[in-house]
Amino acid sequence: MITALLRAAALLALSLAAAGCANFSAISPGDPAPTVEARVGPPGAVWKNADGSEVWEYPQGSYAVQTFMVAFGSDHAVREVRQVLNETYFSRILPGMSREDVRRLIGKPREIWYFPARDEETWTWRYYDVTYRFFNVLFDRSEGTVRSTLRLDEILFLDGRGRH
Amino acid sequence: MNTIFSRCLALLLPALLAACAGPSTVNPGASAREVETVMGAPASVWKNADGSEVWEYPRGPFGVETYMVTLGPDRAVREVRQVLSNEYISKLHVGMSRDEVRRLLGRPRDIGFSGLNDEEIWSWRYRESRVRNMELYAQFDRRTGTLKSISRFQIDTSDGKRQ
Repeated sequence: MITALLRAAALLALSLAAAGCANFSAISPGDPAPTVEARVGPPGAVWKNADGSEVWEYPQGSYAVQTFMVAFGSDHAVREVRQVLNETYFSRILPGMSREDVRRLIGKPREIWYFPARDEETWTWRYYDVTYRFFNVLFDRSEGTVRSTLRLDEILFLDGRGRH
Repeated sequence: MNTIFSRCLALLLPALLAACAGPSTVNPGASAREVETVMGAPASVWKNADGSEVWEYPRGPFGVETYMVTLGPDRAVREVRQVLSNEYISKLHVGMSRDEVRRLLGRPRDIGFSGLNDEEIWSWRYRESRVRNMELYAQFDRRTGTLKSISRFQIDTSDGKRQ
């Protein structure tokens, strides 16, 4: 009984963590940087542009299916908030792009795998589009450029085993 | 001129046919030599204690099938199995060794490593119900050499334009 309760609590905590307790819908255009930090915490990475504008990256962890990018103008006020793990952004990833191009577009991957025989590096993101899916970007490892992309639907085994 | 051409063709044709010939032409009772004539040299041979053998024929990286030909102690074919199918994939289980996995499914199409380098990932491409393109990953713990997770995926061949 106690074990069941503990398990339920753990699951609840996990789902809250996965959902991302940080509330990005509470951020509005025009909000100053400190307000953003107060609402959703410090970013996982910051990208600075030459014109003084910045993009703050908030990957939601490896179990989650969302990554937010908060774009600031040179006045350090929010321009827009984007959830980037979807087709709108995936379709912009083209052969020849660099690792940094990809990272700036859709954020940190949950996993990186190397395939020496093909000199390939695979970056993986989990996302949600009707079902839970995986988006992979395949890089030429030596060149550091995109070769292709791959979208995968996980087919669970009957006992629920799988990569999550 | 024509005769030279047809003679060349006559010489080439058996070779071309052998290259195309699938295991469907290898039937139980065929000899080991017939298997080699039709399918070529196996990628790997497993010898069992009772004198029987299993010959492995992966058709990857371009093919999506792997055949296991079992020869009895009399060196005659007992059975031919296409192992990149759910029947065999569902036999994978956590804790298996690399050797056990190799014997079950044959050589992987590719072997990869996780970013932290603590995992070795074997991948296969296969086809389900003849039309669905599938990808299978078997992730091993590199230190213990045992299988720690199994996952399979259907490849979205529409590149995100499925809706």
